[in-house]
Amino acid sequence: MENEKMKKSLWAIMKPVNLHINSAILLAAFSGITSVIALTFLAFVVSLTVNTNTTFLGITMDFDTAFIYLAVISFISFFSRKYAFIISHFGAFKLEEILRTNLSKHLAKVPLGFITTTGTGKLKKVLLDDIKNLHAFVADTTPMIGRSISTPIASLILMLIIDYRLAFASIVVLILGVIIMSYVMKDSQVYRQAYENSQSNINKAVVEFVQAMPIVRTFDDGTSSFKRYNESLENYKTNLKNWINETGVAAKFAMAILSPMPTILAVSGIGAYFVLNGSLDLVSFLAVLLIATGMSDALMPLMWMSNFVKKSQAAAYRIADISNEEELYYSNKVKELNSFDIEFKNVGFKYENRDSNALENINFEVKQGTKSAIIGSSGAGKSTIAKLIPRFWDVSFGEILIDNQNIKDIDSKTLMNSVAFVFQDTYLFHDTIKNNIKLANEKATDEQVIQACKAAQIHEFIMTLPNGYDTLVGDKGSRLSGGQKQRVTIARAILRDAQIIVLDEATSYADAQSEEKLIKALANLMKNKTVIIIAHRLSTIKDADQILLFEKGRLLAKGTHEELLKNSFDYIDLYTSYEKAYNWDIDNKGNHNDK
Amino acid sequence: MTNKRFSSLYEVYKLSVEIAGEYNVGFKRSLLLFFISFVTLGLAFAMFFPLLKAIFSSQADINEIIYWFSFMAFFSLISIVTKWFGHNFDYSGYIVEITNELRVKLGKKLRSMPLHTLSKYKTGELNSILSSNVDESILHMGVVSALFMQITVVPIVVVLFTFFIDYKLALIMLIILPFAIPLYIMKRKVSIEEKKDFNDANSNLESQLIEYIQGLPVLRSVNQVGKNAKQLDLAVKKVRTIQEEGASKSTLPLLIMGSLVEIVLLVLVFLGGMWVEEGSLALITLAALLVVVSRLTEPLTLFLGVIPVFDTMDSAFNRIKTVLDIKSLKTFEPKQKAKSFDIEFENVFYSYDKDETYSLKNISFNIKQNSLTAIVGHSGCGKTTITKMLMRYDDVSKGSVKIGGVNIKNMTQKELMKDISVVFQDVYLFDDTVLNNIKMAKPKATKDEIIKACKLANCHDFIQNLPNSYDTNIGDLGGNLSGGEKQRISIARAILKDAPIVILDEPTASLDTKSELAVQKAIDSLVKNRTVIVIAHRLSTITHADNILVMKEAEITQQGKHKEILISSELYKNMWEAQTRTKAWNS
Repeated sequence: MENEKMKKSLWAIMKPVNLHINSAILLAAFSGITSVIALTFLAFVVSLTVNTNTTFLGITMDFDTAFIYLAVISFISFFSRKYAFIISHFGAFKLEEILRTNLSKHLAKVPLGFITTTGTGKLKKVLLDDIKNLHAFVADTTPMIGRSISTPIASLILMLIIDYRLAFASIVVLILGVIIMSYVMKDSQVYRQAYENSQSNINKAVVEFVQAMPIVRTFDDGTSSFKRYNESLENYKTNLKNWINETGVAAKFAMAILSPMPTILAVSGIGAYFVLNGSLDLVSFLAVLLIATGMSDALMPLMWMSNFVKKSQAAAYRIADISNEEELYYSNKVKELNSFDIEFKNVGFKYENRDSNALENINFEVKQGTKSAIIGSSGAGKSTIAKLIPRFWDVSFGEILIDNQNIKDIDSKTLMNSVAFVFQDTYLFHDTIKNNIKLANEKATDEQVIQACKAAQIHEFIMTLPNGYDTLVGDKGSRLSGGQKQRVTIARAILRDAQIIVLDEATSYADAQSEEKLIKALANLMKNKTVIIIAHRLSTIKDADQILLFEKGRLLAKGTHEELLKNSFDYIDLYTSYEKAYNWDIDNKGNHNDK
Repeated sequence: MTNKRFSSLYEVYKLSVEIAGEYNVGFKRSLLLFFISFVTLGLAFAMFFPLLKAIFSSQADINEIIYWFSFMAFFSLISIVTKWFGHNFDYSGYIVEITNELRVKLGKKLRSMPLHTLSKYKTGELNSILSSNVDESILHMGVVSALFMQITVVPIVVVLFTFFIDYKLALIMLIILPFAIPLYIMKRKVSIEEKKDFNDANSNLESQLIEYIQGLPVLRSVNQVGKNAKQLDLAVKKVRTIQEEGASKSTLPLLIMGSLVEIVLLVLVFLGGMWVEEGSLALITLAALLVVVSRLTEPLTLFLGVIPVFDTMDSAFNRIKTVLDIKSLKTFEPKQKAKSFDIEFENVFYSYDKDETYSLKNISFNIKQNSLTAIVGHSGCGKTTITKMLMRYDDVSKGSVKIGGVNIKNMTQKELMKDISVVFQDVYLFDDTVLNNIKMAKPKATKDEIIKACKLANCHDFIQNLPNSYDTNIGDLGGNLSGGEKQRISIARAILKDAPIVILDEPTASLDTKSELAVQKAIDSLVKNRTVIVIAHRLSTITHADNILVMKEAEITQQGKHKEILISSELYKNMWEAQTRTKAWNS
């Protein structure tokens, strides 16, 4: 079943360049046929040097004419091969472009959650490596297929026409070889499976060994981790050896029998006999000698090819997997929002590949201009809630409303203009600081950008950089500290001036001196907006107009700090641990009694 | 990445032998066998001359025919048999042994190279070196070398033999066939040159793509996908354009080479035909020659297919060699162990990349056994680097690091790491049970010891609540452990290890608040009665430290107790005050 799906994916994906592929295959096939014809004709031409009356297959010619014909056929063969090659390559280039463009456009429309769950690593692999793999398939394998199929067939047919007896001689050799080979290869499927399994295991073992090394070496010199690694290697070695032992004989035998000499010996021996008894002339003998190995020569490449085909099928499958992901549906009904009240109505959510609900029966309201803090232990569903608002995913049950409209009905531009989100993973592009911030509003003036940065408490720092606002950010903003990156992202959000802010306050204390600035920046960001914030700081929680306490995907309690202190044990519990944690210090003399 | 000019054949041969390690004898032997195989193949082909002559002579003598036929069969048999045994190199497990050994060697190198060098490699790079590069470079060794032999040895034998038959024909072949060599070199040169353009366009595309994918959330939130998508489109199109230009250029030499044999055949027919007509050449000789030459097409076609494989082999070899050539950390004589756990840094200087600026300048401090030392300062000032020097991430450029009076250079890595426990921010968990993950800190630990450590680390409870308790497989949890839970496992490991020195690297950063308290309790257990070094951001957590090192731009500006440095260090005072203000808002 898997294999069927894979096969379909491969040809479906190559559809856009069907014309190229088919032309390349046909041209390559034609080239194969003409080169077989050329070889046959060669024999004819040679014998004409001595006896211009030679007839071959009913044709008579003089040497010069025949030679010209030969040259022409050879050139035709050469050029069709060249063009087959060029066409297949151009097809491959085109396919690469089409696939990459389509996939990236597609990625712009699928739920953001899909992208974060799939992971950039995997996406990158598909868009770069898997597509490259298909390139190789279209460019190199397709013309090979054409030629490797037409050449043996053409050789066979011509041999039968020229002298069927010799044709049979070479077929017998071939068949003998194939029979013995398939007998010897009987059990290889089982071993191949074991081999492929241990292949992926070895990759896993390597990955684990390599990734863990820096950590492992802080424990010992890596002895136990190395032991596991070694064991996987041994396992792999044994499986591989078994496979090779089993298939090695068949492979060597195939190479032996399919090498030219057995066929040539058979044809020469039997041909000599027929020449002696007068039933075979030089031209025919020569012709057959030249093309007899056409069949056996083609078999090896065909065998290699099946390997390529398998790999490409797997790549195509992965590509299809991504392009089959459904795009988010935007209805474009609502193009304007008049108020920014948010309401969660009976919301439930389940991740695609997990069994249990991440969120269940969530009901709450956030009135415009107020601040709601989401708290709870990790895994409680806090960031999931936050991400549902900008439609990272769509809810599984219930609805999310803004201005009493279901967010699914809101035009995407309007929604994105109304909701700004600031999450932990702050991504900065390889561009100037100014442009990174201006992403939020292309039309912003420099003055507006500076204002936003001042509010985000990052302006001073930017002015200390070599080129100020025109300084290039290192890849992924690597030259800024955690706190500084966050403030740049906050500046973006401030510049964006969306009415709803969804914010994850995490990474506290990553950067001590930034802490104070960060708090000021956040305060500026949240001024007069409707805010949903995943809170970590005591101040944020206490100040909130509403606190939403989550636990294991359910909303346990909601209210203000004072209300909850009175009504909710869970809240009291949580809040007390916040406080204790806040007041802790490191003590290695055992002076702490249980606080 | 080295983009040096492609290695010559001989260099590749030498590399192959080196990589074959102790099996290089088998490798050389198989090369010899292939050599014999192709010489005899050439001779078998050569038998066509006398054989065809015998068959078509006016007084055909059966015995003579059988005589030459037997020779041809005999040479063929030897050729096939020696080739069979030559392939034993790839098909009887040698290759497997070599790849295995190579992986073991590389694995050992990973264990012994300075951690600093290790961290310079991206994980993906190392992965591909140990898995796919090893396979790419080795698996085809046998087949590739056979092919090279075939296309060099066979034509040479054929040409030599032809000289004895008719020197004119041999000369023709001698003139045309060697065209393959400059064509081959030209093709590789062209492909490598255009490769540069292509590589540039390709890596541009790669980085555009990565930026696009990683930045999608941001781009979508600001409705800017279109513009970035446009940039991406441009990069994609550029790659296509370069490919198309390159294709037209490089196909010609490739195809001419592939048709070289056919060209030779045409020339031979033309000239040979002329000579036959004027009587200076026997028809049957020409016929035999044509048959022999046509046999050369097959290896040539295969060879063309092999060139890219060869290139891959070449670069894979080089990457592997680079890793194997890395100098390991050396333990200097006399080998010693630390008996007490004072730590001393004396005038330490360190620069990461030997010619750049110093990341540590004149660092000197003393840590008494069982004391608590904190290192504070802005990001990038060198705090983590100090701890790295203690772990011998790399050797100091100047000065010395001593534990209990013993220079760490005189300690084996094993001894050194036995004395130190580290709690990083990133916790690496591997695909095994929770128990084994913790056990890695002390492989001989009993389950009771492990449970005790987990209780102290405050993670025993949540582990018990996992589906299979301690035997739950980490992979099955699907990454569902919180930062705090992972941190506590990391602390359990450190507790289990029971090392006298503990290094905590920003232990309470990025924690979810509920487990923060739990983690703090765990840390309390861990640091009790040990020598502790803490890299701290929250100054309030280290006010009781016995010594605080204030760092700025690779140097220690002040050290002392909290109260002392509040006065003596402007920097510390500012940091403390900023944090106090923040704290005030929170109460």
